[in-house]
Amino acid sequence: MPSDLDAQIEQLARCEYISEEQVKRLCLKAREILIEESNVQVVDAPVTICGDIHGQFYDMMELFKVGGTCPETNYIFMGDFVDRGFYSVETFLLLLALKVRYPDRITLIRGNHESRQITQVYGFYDECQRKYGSSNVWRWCCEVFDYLALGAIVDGRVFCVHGGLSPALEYIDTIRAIDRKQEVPHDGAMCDLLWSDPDDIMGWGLSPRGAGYLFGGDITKRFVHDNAIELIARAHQLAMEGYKLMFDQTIVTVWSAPNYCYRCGNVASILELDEHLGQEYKVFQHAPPDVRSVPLRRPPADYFL
Amino acid sequence: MASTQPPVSMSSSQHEATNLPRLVVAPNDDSEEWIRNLIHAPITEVDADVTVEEACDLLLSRNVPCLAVKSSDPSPLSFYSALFDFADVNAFLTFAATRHTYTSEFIDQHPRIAQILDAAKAGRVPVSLVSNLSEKNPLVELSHDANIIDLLGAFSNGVHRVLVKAPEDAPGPSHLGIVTDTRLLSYFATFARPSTPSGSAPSSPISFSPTPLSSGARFSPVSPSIPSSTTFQRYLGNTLQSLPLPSLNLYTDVIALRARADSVLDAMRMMSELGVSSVAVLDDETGSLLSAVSVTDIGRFVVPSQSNAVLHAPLQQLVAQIKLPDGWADGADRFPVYSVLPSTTLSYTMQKLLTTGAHRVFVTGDLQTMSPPNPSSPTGELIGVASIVDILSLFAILANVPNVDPTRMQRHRRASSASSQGSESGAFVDLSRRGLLGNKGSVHLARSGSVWSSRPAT
Repeated sequence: MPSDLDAQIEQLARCEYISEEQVKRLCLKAREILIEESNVQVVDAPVTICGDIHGQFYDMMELFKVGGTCPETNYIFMGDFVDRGFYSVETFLLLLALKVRYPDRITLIRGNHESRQITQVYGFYDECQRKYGSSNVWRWCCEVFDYLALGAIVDGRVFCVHGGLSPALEYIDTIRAIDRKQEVPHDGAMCDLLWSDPDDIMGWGLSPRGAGYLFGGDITKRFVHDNAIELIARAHQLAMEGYKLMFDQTIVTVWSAPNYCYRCGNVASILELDEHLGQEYKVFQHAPPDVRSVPLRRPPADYFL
Repeated sequence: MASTQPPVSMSSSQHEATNLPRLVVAPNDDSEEWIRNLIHAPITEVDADVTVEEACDLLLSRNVPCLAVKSSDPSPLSFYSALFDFADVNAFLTFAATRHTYTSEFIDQHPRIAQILDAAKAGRVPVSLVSNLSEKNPLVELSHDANIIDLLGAFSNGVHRVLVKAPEDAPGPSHLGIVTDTRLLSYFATFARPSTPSGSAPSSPISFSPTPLSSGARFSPVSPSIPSSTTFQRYLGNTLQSLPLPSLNLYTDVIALRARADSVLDAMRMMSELGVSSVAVLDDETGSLLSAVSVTDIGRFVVPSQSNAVLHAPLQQLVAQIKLPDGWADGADRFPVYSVLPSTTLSYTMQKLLTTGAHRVFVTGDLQTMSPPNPSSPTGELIGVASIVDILSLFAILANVPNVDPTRMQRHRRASSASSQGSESGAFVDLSRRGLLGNKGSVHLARSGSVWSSRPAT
């Protein structure tokens, strides 16, 4: 088995997607591993924390150059592996294969895009349809999404979540009571964790995204204090400089998709935590453009052909 | 949050009368031209003979919801003849794509349709022929000294905007500007915030007084703004299901289509013929609410496209195109559709509408009533719609505005659409043949009352 998986990893690392049958088996194996994980997965330092990838495969290769390959480096990926970019399939399947091969070296938590509803709108469904000619791969990946943890905690001090906080969740322990094995709901605690944003307000506000909440510095600091942690690491929002610290460095947005949508001109970053939880932010640019890494234009929708 | 607040009790009709706040105009020295507070954008105007395409370009480039069409012979009393918005754009495009279904009798009886056909043959359709083609965008004007009851009276008929005329003898433009439904709703929302010290609250020409039989003994005539806003806040704490919202409990009559099986043209026809400005998009297999398409989306993505093939594309492709630019610049993707529950409060619903900038939210079933929850469809069934205009009509009722009926134009439109098509052809029968009527499961098509009850079921 391991050699078969190694071959798949090698193939995916060349940005070549594996067969439908191989995807099916990979997804089944991944679910067996993920089902054992907690809603808030406990992770040991040292570990490198990464934000949104959004199908930007070649930029993820840059990330591995900067942070080191897995399993030599331990990783936490904070969701949003798919949608928007052109290589969501290869990106997610590579991360999944690494998870199955090295389950203790890489942690994948769920982003708001790991959802049937969102992926039907923002590109992953269409990409699966285009590359495999059916919706099976999409369906199996969505089933894997349902099993992804909602958060991670590093040495009990750094809390990782894709979006942010929820008015229904004062304590990290309360997250453990959620039944996460479902499609991301429209509202409620599980939705908020994946959709909320920190903002320069006091208290809570409704989010202009139409899901989740805005939460202010007072809420953030209280959460950090009440849960005896030192930092909330999250993603979900573009940071032009790759990362953005807020509220006296109690919360950081880590964004790992450089030149987002191949047009934003931003840099990306990863957060390296050493064994003492010392923080180092490493910033990187998008991969050098070549024939494959940046398609000239989005593949035309079928109805124009 | 808001949905966990206990709702105000509205258990019986006798109690309703005593618990409802009453909205009255409190005359004060600042009320003259108070309406200026609600005008925040100038009118974008267009000449009557500009083409439909140019007018649509103007809507898109200026990013405004409507244009005011100048009268061919403008006078101080009638400077503008009509309005033009995306609902009209959609009606025009739908008409162009389906004109073969119109009976010759109908065309004879409707000179404007005949004129549009002639103008199209000549290659140039002026915007004046298309303004209010949707029959949902009439020109409604109020004078500069109109008060809030007058405004609510106008919006209670379902219009989305009202033009405000300048004083007759004033020099300068004939109109002060536009008041939109969104702006009026945000006015009510800010006024209903928790009481601030009276010095900092803006003076308001309205007061919310409890009716005499109410037990609200804390009402004080000395500082009316504070207890009155509490009364209004209590009203806003009502759940949607306890309020007389006209489109809340539609169930299978909610206008909805399937993401893959139905086309862009299907959506355009539904919106035009059923007099609505948006359609819910459902997952083909599970029937769960995926997204929504509006007349504005049609205006943005169908008109600029070079090929007519887009009309026959699955609705899902239009949804993907619509969502593409959202979050491009700031990586802040939005939820594809905005929804609330019947147990959500009016206050929370208003905030959601204003924060997201949407004109309506869909109402989906309470999860508590579904057991066990379907893991791939946790959204619950689609129950109804709550729009800005629906909410303003509630306030109009509080103000004793007579004949509050925000769905009036919608019903009128459905009646005239039904009569435009012969019994053997037309959008209704076509959609019926393709199984979009009366299907159990994911697809629903609205029917309105007696107009269509005589049609054969499929």
